[in-house]
Amino acid sequence: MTALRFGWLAWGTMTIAATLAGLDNHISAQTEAVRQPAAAASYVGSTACARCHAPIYDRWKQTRMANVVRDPKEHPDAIIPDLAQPNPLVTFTRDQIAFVYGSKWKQRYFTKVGDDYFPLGAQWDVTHRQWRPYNVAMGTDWWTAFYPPENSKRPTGPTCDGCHSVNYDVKTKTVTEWNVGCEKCHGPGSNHVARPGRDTIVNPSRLDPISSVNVCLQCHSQGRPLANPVEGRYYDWPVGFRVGLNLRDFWQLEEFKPGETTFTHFPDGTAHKNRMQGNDFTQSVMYTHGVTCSSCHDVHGTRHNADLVRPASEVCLTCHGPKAPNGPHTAGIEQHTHHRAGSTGSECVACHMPAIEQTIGDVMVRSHTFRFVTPTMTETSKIPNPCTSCHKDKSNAWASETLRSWPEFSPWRVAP
Amino acid sequence: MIFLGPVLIVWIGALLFSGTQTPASPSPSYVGSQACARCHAPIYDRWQRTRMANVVRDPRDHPDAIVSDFTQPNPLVTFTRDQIAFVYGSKWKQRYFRKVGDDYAPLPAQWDVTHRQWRAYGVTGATSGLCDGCHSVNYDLNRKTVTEWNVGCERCHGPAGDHIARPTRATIVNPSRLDPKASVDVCIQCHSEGHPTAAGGGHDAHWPVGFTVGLRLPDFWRLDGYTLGTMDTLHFGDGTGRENRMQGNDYVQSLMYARGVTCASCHDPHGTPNNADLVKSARLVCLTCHGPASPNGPHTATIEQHTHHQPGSAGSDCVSCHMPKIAVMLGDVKVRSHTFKFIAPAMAERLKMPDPCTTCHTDKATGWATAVLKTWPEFSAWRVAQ
Repeated sequence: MTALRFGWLAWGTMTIAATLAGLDNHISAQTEAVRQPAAAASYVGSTACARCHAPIYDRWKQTRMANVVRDPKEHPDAIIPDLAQPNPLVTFTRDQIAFVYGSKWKQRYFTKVGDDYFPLGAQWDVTHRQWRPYNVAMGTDWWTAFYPPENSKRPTGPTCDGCHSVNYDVKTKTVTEWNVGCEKCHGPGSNHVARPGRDTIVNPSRLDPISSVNVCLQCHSQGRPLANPVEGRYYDWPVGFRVGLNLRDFWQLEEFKPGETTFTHFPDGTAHKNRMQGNDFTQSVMYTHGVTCSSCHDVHGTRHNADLVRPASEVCLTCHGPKAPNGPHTAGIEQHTHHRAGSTGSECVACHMPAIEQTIGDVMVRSHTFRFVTPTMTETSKIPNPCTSCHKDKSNAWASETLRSWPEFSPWRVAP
Repeated sequence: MIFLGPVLIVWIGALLFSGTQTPASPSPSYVGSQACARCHAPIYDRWQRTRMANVVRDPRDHPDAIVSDFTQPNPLVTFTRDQIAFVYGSKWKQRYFRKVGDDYAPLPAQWDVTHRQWRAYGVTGATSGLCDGCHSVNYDLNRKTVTEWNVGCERCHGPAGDHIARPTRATIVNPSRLDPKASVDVCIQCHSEGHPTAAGGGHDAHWPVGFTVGLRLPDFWRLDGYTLGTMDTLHFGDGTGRENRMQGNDYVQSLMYARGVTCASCHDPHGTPNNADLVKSARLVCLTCHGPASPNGPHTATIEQHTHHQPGSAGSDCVSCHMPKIAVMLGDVKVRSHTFKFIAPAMAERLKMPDPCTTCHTDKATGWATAVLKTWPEFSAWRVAQ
């Protein structure tokens, strides 16, 4: 009887052990698949995903992610300005435009010569509804040192196409599709189409936070490929990287040195141009604590500005609030903001994401470090602070004095 | 009852108010630490043995206070033992002062305790504006008098005359019951580099003239500013303190400070058996709040996975990477920084400042450190290797 009971126990233990071992193998295999998305997988294009993921595909189709680059021959309405109105900056005709880029802040125009695209000399400022010249001036971006000054000698392959397409091939100059299709973030999908399962596709939300953020950072950052020059050319995007590989093996973020104002950075390290959300965000406390881009944005498209998962006035409050250990540590939000509830100044983003990063002319987008830039910092380092960016008639000294009177804050931090 | 109601409200109000922010009475009187011993004997005895209580000593009362070597002639030492009215310090360095009228003045040599050698001490001028406000209780800059020398009870708890008369919580300041900022300010009043504001009388002093615990330190004191990217006498280019006495300047930049952690979370200035009067040994104190299972991080399965150094090794101590010894105390003797941030070697190289990796691995270059950090998968290369 005792022997029999022991026998059962032994069998049971072995079964559990075997099951666990199997599970363990399965987990390892899956992790491996996620890190190395089937080396043999090939790109299939976003329409192949629509068959099973129709709702998400339909949503994505309407996003800017899916529509930044457009061929005006297929989408005549893509060109926003009236090209019939003469303007000295506009030295090209509609027929010359092979691609338009952008619609929210600015629109740029590209012409095709051979198998390459080249920027045309004028861009449309959507906010001010006016033409502005378009030519990246020598010395204003690191890559200008490696190209002649004329737009006609600066093909988009090295400077734009890697991010504005899926699977841009630097040798053949071909793409699987233009714009940010499914496989830009999920990796090549042929194995998943053949055998749909979690282990045949990358889901950025299941990656560790660092890798998850890197999926966005591959394009939403200023940096340089480690491999430059690639076949004699200097690229402005991470050549060779695809989701599943380790971005740091392909890309380095543009360096900053505290105290220096450069093309890319304010003296405190905050970006002062667009396309630098990644440079900003990796400096944030949220990043170190594992918050990812997708904690706030749903790139498949939402009804909210910037594809936020909730409106900007609410999204921060998902994790932050009077009772949250994440702060702010005050009884009410108003006690933290010191601005009337519902006013512009009461929004988290007003102070933690000031619009100080240039996208075109005087049109600015929001910073992503989430830190509060003090008015003192404006005095010492010439970086705009959120107080006087909004209260334009007031001085930095006024802002510092006001901050010193806010008892919830340490003056050593907000108004040193 | 009708008459008592408002009186009670006023009395309760006074009780609440006096116990939190304001000094116990409009004209508080100092009584000296000995008066506290009657009721707080154990804590008094503990404190009596701390450096807090013994930095400043009169060698006539304490002949053993002088730790330097006066037996060998040294060209720097142009004074005799008899001229010394006060010695300051015993752990890192010892400085000597002579009495000049009703003030004191530094003597021109100081003793480097670590290397057991004399070094020149070039600071001149009266100690009243430079030192005495922090090295005593209730220093009167006009009359040049003190209640007592050294950091006595009332330096942090405020004048105790009322508390002696009526011993309750309401009649004394307890820094641990203050809000975190005010609590930290109790220490910052002396553990920082700054300048007095006009509110204290506009003195050109090196301590917050006019401040007593219970008042608002920012009304009396401004921390010395820094410019990012610029290394000055007091700061590295990232704002980290370069000198000792800058724990406050460092600490207010930290995330722990922003989250309400105070000096007293780690230190007990009444004295402990641990270095720097830490509440636990340096090796353990961080782990009170941080650890593998803590939401405060590090977010790894084990501590070793975070440190990438063998357990028990110097590199496995939290302070090795988060509190490198880079603030100059004397010569090449340095004390630990208090920003708690990790200074990335690549950034350190750009700012020409020390980093924790090569401060310990002195035979290695910052490039080596950056390359190694890139291979640590738990860390973002963008943070540790940029």
